[in-house]
Amino acid sequence: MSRVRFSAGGAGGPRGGGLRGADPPLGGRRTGAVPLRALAWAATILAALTMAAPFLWMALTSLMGQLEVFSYPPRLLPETARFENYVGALTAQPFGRFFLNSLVFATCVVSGQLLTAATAGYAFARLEFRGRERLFLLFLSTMMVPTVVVLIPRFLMIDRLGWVDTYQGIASTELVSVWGIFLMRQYFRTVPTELEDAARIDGAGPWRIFWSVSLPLARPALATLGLFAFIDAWKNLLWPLLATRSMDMRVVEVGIASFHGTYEVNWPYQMAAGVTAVLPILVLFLFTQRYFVRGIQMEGFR
Amino acid sequence: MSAALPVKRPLAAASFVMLGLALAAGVGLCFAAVRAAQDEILSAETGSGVELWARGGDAALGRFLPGRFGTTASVQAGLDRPVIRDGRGYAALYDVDGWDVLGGLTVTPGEGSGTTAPTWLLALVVLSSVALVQAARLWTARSARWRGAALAALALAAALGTATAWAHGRLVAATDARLARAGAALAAAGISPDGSLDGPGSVDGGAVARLTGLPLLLRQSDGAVGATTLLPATAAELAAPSSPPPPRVRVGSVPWALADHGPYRLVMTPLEHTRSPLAAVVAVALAGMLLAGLPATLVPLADTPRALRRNLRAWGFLAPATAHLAVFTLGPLAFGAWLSLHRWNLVDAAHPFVGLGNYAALASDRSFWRAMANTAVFTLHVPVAMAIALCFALLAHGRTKAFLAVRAALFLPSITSLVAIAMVWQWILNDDYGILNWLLGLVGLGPVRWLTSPSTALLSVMLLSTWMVVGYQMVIFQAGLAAIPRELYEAARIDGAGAWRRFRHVTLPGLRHTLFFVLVTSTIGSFQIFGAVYVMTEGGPLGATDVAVYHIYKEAWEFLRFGSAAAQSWVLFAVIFTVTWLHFRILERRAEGTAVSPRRVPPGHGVAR
Amino acid sequence: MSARAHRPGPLLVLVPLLASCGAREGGTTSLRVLHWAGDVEITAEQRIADLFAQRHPDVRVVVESAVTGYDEKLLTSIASGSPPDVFLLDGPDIPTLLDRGLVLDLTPYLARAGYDPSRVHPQVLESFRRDGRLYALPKDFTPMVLYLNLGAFQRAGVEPPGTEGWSWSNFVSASRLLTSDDDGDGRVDVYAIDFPRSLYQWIPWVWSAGADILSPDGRKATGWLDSERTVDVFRFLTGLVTEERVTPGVQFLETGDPAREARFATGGQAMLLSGHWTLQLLTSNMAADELRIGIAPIPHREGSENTTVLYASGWAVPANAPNRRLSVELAAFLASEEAQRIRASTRLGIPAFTDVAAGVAAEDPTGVERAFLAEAERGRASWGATVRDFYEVEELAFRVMDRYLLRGDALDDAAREVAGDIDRVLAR
Repeated sequence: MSRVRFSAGGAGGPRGGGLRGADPPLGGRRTGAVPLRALAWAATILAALTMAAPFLWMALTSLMGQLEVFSYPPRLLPETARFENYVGALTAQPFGRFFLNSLVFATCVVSGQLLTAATAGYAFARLEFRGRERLFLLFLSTMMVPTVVVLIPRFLMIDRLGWVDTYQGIASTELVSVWGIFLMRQYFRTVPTELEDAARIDGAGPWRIFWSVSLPLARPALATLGLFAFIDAWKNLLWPLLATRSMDMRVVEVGIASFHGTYEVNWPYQMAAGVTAVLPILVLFLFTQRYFVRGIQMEGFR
Repeated sequence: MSAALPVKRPLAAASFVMLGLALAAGVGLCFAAVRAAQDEILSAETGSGVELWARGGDAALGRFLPGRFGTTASVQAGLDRPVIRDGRGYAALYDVDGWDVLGGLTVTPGEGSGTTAPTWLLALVVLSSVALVQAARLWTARSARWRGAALAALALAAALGTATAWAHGRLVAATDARLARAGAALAAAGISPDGSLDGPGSVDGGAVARLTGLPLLLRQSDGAVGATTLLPATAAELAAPSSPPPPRVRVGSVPWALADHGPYRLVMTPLEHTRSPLAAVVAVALAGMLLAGLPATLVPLADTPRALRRNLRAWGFLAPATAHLAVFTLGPLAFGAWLSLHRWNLVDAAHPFVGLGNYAALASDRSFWRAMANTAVFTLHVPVAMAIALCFALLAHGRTKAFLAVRAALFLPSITSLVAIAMVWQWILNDDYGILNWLLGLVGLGPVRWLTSPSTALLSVMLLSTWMVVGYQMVIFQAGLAAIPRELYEAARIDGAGAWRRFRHVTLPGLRHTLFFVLVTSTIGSFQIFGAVYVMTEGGPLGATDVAVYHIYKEAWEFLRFGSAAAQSWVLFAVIFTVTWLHFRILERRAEGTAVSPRRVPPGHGVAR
Repeated sequence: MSARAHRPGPLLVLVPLLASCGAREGGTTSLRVLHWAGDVEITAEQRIADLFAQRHPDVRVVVESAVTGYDEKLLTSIASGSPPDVFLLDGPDIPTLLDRGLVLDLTPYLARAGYDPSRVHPQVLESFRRDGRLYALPKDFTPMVLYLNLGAFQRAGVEPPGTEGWSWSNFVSASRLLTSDDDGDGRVDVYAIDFPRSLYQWIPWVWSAGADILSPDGRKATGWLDSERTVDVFRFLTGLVTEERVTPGVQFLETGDPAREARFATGGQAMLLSGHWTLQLLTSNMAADELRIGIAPIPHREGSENTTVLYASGWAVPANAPNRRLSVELAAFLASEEAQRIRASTRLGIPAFTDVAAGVAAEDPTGVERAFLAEAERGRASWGATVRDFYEVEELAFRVMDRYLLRGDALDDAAREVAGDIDRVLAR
């Protein structure tokens, strides 16, 4: 084992030498002509602005008055920025509690999915066993049935277990994601096997190889899965709505939706809550970025 | 091969254990079927039908049901609705207004209640022995493996068939008994001839009998409806003059049991139709086949103990995910399959078995196929979105803070609350003052009726969906890019490859697993598009954006036809499965076959230096 | 074989994680109330529930609110055998749940719970009655009315309609005057009204023309939806878009035009067809004297009477409620005068008790509430309260005018085909 070293990103220290730093697969600062790079930059910024525009407008709307949102002709900037909308929206309901609930729910889901997807994905990608492809297709096929169908029996199950309106109730059904298993399988297939082979020659068992060699190599995929599991849990509306009852167990997304009343819609409040709800995901996204960009470094390997 | 023998023996033993388990499961299921039938009868007796009401609390109860009333304190404390516990039915007894709970009503099942072993058990034993003998041959003649498995399954099915037939018979009898009892209660309660149920007649000094719930009451003479909550058409059909009435009638595939009592006709959904023995038998036969077949598939593994170890090891990795899927996904899916053979509206107790009726009805359901066609068209946005996402991932693949900001901006659409952002999009796509039409106007185009014209609405939803998924896909591509060893680029650069060639020969091959993943999952996901349609167009205008899952959703939750919705889900499933299977057949094989995998890069070009 | 020694147990990690999540309830009786209150209502509803809990120290009231997904939540909880103890019932859900015997007949308990149904507006009560039995206690209700932006009327020099309302021809000529391009840029700046695209909006127009979409027993659409008189209404309404051009057109979604209230409040639209709930939205503008409004009946066809539609919701108790007595008492409290007064402050609906409603109207200086009460007198319960599968009927009926406006089909053909489709639904 001692001869095999690996590290994610620059965390491994200076030994990486000249290989450190990611180059864009296209272009790259050493080769690209200046006009071409400028053009690429312009395109990138334009794309980013276009993509973010609806969100920006949403953020602006959150500062408007109730009827101002739909004033005609439409206006981009609020007459006066009403930051009190944020205070109003976040105190209209106990949003602090909602955020906590969403966080607990999402954390349970993320840890569950990371564990199950990493192990199962590894088995499908790296281990030989009978009926592997068929079992994988069976796994995959569970993705293909609309959730409308599984919603009722799942609710009946947690109801029988007495888990309605509890964290284990909303989280237990979401601990496995076939999407995540598939992601990990594909990723493990991408990662070169040399390190594992070396570890095997060194006499490491499969669990040890998985845990100390393969898993660290799969950090970008784990980060992706963790991020997406978090987002999915965070944005999940229907299941937490069904599986919880009290205000104390309500999650953020349900809170946002409830600004959309049967008779009235409080747009600015809804937008304000919507903007606030994006922030935790954004922070997580920025945090996970380090795993994507730096990639894997291998050294001292022969 | 000499190593094979010692392992083979314990495996054979394991196989026998497996078979035994299969048979035990069958027997258990038989008992469960009988037990369930009894519970159903009990719940029918306690939950509805004739309710007996008593004034004056426990003292009156003794007179009412001598020797029958006796519950533990815990049961009494929790007794607020009909329950079945330990083979007895309990119901709350309210005062005459049904206002306060006075006590409880205990019902023990009637004659032949479960303890006596019916004759089918004998048959079961005989059949099981045959199956076991047959299975024993497994080890002498390997070709008989599947015959053994099939026979075991057959034995199971036969046993269960007998059991359910027996249970079915009991349910039939219970239905008839209930109708008779309701008739007697009707007479005893002295309900006024005009069918009014308001004036309770007196029975047995102080006790009052009252009709509640089922069975329903119809007046026979002129076909007019008495105390029912039936649809008028159904009531008229059930009250159609015939004397004596047929015991069982089907109205629009919903079964009814009929009985005449004086001027009244009692109707109810027969108990025996609340369960469908056929489905259970088929399910058990299949399960038995699998269970009994399992040892057979394990046998070849015994030839190589290493293979066995490898398999067990893999299952160690797979166990958590598999167990969870089996409970929380496969279970519900099996329920969905069962549901698609029934008519069920979620709230009615009755869910008649309609066989393939739900599927047959789909064949002529134009709106469903329209939704499927819309879905297929919608899926075409996947490659477009992937191309854009790949461009984004490549463009924004850098380390500096600027790149980070760009990526965050590109990712924003994917993480914003759909409910909230939908309004913004309605504003962007508005015909009159939407920003998109304004932009088109600048270059002398439009205005386009983005969401209000049946011909463009689907396109608009595709646009919105593309906007939403591109960020997701970009992040996955990024993760994929991160896995491509940097040395490959380095090597390519040293070889003098330009940007395009590096993309073509390093990036694309390195990304092929990721590309395949994104393609497959995005296609599956886009076949299940729901949210964007739900919040933006509600399937309109004129069904132009009605997509499969939205259609299914409405069928289930709005129109309360869950059986039909389940059938539609399975049709959709079949389509998605076929498409995915094709993806695997064509694309993954090709990817495996032709692409240069990093691990096969010649020495000096890659990782292995 | 180091593999065996080093085996991280994923499940072992999960178990304590899950066990640490979750909360349990105490020993007192817990009652669950399910409604669809949005953020405006929820404070009032919580206050009412808290009052009940105060008076019953051994009772804990859990208020559950679901705006999106209300039906899903209600129906799954009923299916699982643990329905809420009291829930809100309205519109097309009434027949779905009533006719299936899922709702408790409250008639025997009314006196004991201290609820007097004779105080309720009779047409509202009718929605929740079957064969003389009452199944839900009305919460509040509203008629559909025509809101008038009096400022816009003044600017256009149009006299607002009297209490008897306009006839169609008066309405059209007024609408032409109200529609204007103030700055002469070729774009209309003030529209008269927006096109009533949804059934809930256009049904009072049909009734006010002496027509209907279903036969009186609610069993048949053919001969009604496609009758000459009903198709005339469709012709008239679509004419507002295609001929008169007094509306912004069919530029919004089936879900409704989110901008209509704002347009009305800021003078971009002179009239607005809506219910009482819109008042809540307009209150701040009215208080700031930016907006003066009037209330008028739905315009009627010459020779026909104004008839509008009443939308009501009520508190129901499931048939298998565990705590029947407490549940009924809670429902009665939620529908009581006290609760209605608290709720009236949200201005979302008219209190169900006529005397409470009259009191609220007397306290309103603008006279708007009084006008609403007058309109309620012309009201009739919505079809959804009696026709089973009305969601489907509604969706089909929606298509008649859409097919004409968006696809160019002839109105009478569209009406005939849709009527046939509806008949098939009703015959099921």
